[in-house]
Formats: sequence, structure tokens, C-alpha cells
Amino acid sequence: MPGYDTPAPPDSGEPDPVKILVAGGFGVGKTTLVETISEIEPLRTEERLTAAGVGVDDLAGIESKTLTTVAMDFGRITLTDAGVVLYLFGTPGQERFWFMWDDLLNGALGAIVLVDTRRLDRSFPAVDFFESRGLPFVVGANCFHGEQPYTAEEIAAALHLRDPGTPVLMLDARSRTDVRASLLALLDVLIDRAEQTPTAVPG
Amino acid sequence: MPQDESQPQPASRRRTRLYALTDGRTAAAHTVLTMDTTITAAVAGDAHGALPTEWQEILVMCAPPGGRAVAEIAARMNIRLTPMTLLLGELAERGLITHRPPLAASDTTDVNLLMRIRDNLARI
Repeated sequence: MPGYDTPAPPDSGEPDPVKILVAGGFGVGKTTLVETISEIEPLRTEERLTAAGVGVDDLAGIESKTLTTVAMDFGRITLTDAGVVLYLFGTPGQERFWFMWDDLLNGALGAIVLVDTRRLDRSFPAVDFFESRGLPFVVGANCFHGEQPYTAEEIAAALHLRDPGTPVLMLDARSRTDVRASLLALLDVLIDRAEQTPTAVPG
Repeated sequence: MPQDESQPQPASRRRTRLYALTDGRTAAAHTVLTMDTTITAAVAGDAHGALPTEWQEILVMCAPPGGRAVAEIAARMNIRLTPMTLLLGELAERGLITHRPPLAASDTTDVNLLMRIRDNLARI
């Protein structure tokens, strides 16, 4: 059988894929954000998961497991001049599905954590998750109906952000300008970090 | 002679069984693909008339240059992620597609690359 493993040649001239994650609680606007900035129509990738129910250790255990379908949003932005294509992955809202993200975290540039200030608690798990994994992120406070009763400082304080320098942006997930601004803010965080970190010795 | 007149094939598109797509293979392929892997066709989609329709569909979708992420292919094919990665692993082992992982963590902390991305993003 020809070609058991056929990775593409490294210098193919094709854009390098780079990952950015979009996280936040259920119904906070992740799908809208990905749709707003993606160059393709919104796509939903599905995965079926087996969730163990109660009584799994009896002989009829197989019947007590439930199948759940989780969906994630996918979008992309080709940046021809930079030679990269940004892949945007919108996470399943429920924290119990985050084990699916282990592959994605590896090599991800960073994340946008969307919060709804009316339900701030729903975004605590996403903040905790990325802080514990050391993935840089910015917070986007989605302003539903264009209104936001809290200031960025108040939201940052309420989220107990470990790094006080984490940007908190007011945004409308339907606004291309706003979403792009949040991505640019994330890139600024990444550039600051990279400049502070001594370059790794090649080899 | 028709074998199953009592069960006519539905005209609508059915979800094809995984074992039909992977030629009977059910174990994970050697090639490890994740949802963020980029797939590019190594052959033209219409060059192999004998290939299953789904395979040809993937080859057309992932025509070079560029290719498509596994997550995007799965969404467009209306196939869930795990069966999709198995199917693509089969195609990779047959040399029909090439695959590339995303940039590694060491690359994504490169200041010059990050600045290029930022500049390009600011202009979209």
C-alpha cells in the first residue's frame, strides 16, 4: 500500500493553520461571533459522546449510558499576507465537554472568552479553564441590545481575573469591527508576552 | 432479482454506515488526525471513478492549494467528528490525501509571525 503516512512538504507555500478558541457559557453569543468574522458560512461540527449515567456497574449498564451530541462552531479567516489561515473554534458551552478541547489547546494562539454580564457565573468555568492551562485570552462582554450597565473594570473585578492586565472589551458579537478589535486585542497580548519571553534556543 | 422489495431504498440521502466508508476498517488508522488538522487532496477527485462517492466528495472539497480542516470537512459532509477522522485516516493511508497539523506552540510565540497576523487582521 503506497504512502502509509503522507504529511505535506513543509514548504508548500500554503497558509499555515493557526487556532483561536472562542469560549463562554451557553447562549452567550459564541456562534454569532464566529459567524460575524468568518469568511465562510457558519459551520457546525458534531460529535457524539457517551455520558455514563447512574448504575453503570450493573450488567444492564450499557442501557444507562446516554448518547449526547455536542456541536462546535467552526470558521476561518485566511490572512494571505501573513501566510496563515486562522481557524476559529467555538466551544461547546457546557464545561463537562471540555475534554474535547485538549487537542485544540495544544498550539492554540489564544482565546476569546465571551461573557454575558446578566449571567456572569456561566463564564467562570471558561476563565478558570484557560487560566489553569496558561492559554492567553481576552474577555469580550457581549452587549445585548447595545447596552452594558457595567464598566470593564467592574466586569474584570467580578470575574476575579488572575492576570489584572487581561483586556476586557465591550463588544457586539454581530459587529465585524468589534469582533476584529477583540482579535487584535488578543494579538497585542500575545505580542507582549512573546517580547517578554526570551527566544528559545534553536535546535 | 430484487432481494428486498419490502424495504425500498429511501430517495433522501442516508447516513452511510462507517464500515462502508472505511472499507471494513473499524480500528483507528495509523495516521492520527485531529479536528484542527488540514487535509489536502493528493489526487484529483474525478481521477478515480471507482472511488466511493464520499471519498471523491472529500477530494474535490480539499483540492490544493489550501485544503480544509477536518472540522470543516466533517461539518460539510454531515458526518460526526470521530467517524470523519477514521475515514480521513483511511484516505491518508491510501495516499489520496496529505495532512498537516496546525503550527506548533513554538511557532505561535514567534513575535514576527504574531505581528504579521496582527497587521493582516487590522486590514480585513
